[in-house]
Amino acid sequence: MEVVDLRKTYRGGVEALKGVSFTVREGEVFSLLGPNGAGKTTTFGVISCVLRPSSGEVRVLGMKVPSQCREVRSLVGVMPQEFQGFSDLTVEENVSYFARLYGVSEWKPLISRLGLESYSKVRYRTLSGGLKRRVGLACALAGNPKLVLLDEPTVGLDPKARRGLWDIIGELKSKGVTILMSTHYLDEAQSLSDRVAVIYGGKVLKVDSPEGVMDEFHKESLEEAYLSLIGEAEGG
Amino acid sequence: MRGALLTAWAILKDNLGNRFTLFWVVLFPLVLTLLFALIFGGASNHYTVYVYGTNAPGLANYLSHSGLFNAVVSNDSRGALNRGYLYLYVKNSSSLTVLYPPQDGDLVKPLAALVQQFLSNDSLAVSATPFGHYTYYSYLIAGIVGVISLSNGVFGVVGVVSGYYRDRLVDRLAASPLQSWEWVVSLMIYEVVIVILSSVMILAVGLALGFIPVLDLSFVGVLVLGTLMFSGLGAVIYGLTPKEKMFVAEGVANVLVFLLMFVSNAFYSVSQFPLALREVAQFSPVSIINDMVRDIIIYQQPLELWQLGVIAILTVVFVAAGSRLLSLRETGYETKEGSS
Repeated sequence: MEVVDLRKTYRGGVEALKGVSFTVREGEVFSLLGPNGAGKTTTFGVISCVLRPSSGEVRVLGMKVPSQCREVRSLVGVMPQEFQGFSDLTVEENVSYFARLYGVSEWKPLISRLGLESYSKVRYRTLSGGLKRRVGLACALAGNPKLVLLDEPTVGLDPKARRGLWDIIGELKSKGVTILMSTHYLDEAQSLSDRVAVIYGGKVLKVDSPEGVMDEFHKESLEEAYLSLIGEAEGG
Repeated sequence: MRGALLTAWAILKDNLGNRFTLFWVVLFPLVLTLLFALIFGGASNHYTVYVYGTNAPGLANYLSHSGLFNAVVSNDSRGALNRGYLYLYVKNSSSLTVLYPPQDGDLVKPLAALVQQFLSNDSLAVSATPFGHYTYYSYLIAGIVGVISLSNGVFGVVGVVSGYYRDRLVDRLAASPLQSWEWVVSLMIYEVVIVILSSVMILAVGLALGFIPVLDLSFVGVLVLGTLMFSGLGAVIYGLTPKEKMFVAEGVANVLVFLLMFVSNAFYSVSQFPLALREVAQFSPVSIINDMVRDIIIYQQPLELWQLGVIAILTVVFVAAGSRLLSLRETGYETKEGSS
């Protein structure tokens, strides 16, 4: 996936993206990091063909956005920030709905793969936060996507549920699925990502591996390196 | 179309398992029916009389001054029948024919007495015939059917879509292969199904009250048309509201539904409204839908073409505007895709 000089100005005149560029390689986990309002969700919106770019070039799996969005949508799985499924449908019904929307009839193995078999007949609204997030991930994966976009997938989860979701993301990565995610948890980004991009004020400040970012700022954690980078940007 | 049907199924299953929706679909119309049936069911409210024949203007004036009747000069016996009014015809100052709704039989004697006084004719030949087999209950049940299409149409779209927006389901669907038109169609299918379910239930209550409706395909057609019109209106309200202020859309929908519901002929005849409100109530879309429903299921009369035309035009306008505003993705996205 390639994003080159992406700009997005909303109708009210708010300039959310001011020339974002980065590349995501096949099979890697790539994380977008940045404070609230940095432009992460807007970037996701453009890549997932929900928002129209104002200018710039976006290619997803070799296809152009927005001109080939119909094809892009059928190959990309998305889990929006704080996504909730159909609350009065069961887990199985939620996953099967999204699978069928993508023309996929084999969705039961996915339920097992995400450890949801014993909840398959349970209504979505009665699930715990961690299980709901797993269902959200199942809905994102239901169309057998080649690229998965996860917008803050672990926000609001307890540590155990977060770790559970990390395991699933790790497993997806081992199976060659390309993942683009955003997160505020720097330990999560450090542990899961092959590379990260730090966005601030609608611009990309840095694209590198977590180790690369840490080395550059001589820090022992990605969080410390990130804070130094953001501090520099805020300073001017 | 596959996406639309799948999504309609998901929305139906999701909402029919939800107590809030069940309240609006089942309990709300039931409460309205029972409430109005209890308040107005035993008492006659149909004091309007259409007067025709010898010295009709003078007689109408005399009757209106009696304090019992609101008399109008007209020979439109069908109009009187449809509105639940009385109709009287005076021939050569010697005979009086009265047509009256069955529940208003008590009004015939005072009416005949007043006519006798006006004509100063003690030997006036009076012939009084109840017409139609309907009562206030049939009038009310048919009115509630119109209200169902209003409340479910407007609340349904605003409530369902704003809920799904809050849950980020709309974002998820926007990023899926589901097309915007399929999304709109799925919502319309959902609305039509719940309005039909709700109407069936209310008609069953009507049966228990002794009202046997005449049901045919034109009734279903009017119900679908009305539901689409009000769903389109709901979509316009949703679409014009900034997404971070969805509570505003819900508030506007509430106010609009209650205004349209009560300033209409749903529960009682427009003639009982204050003069200033009569014209508004007469031509409110809810009143027009109710007139059409009553023509079909009570009076078995052909539909008035102007009414069908008005509703068809409003439906096209609201559905077209609403569909554009309900678009899953940023406006113009589909156009941009197609053109590149």
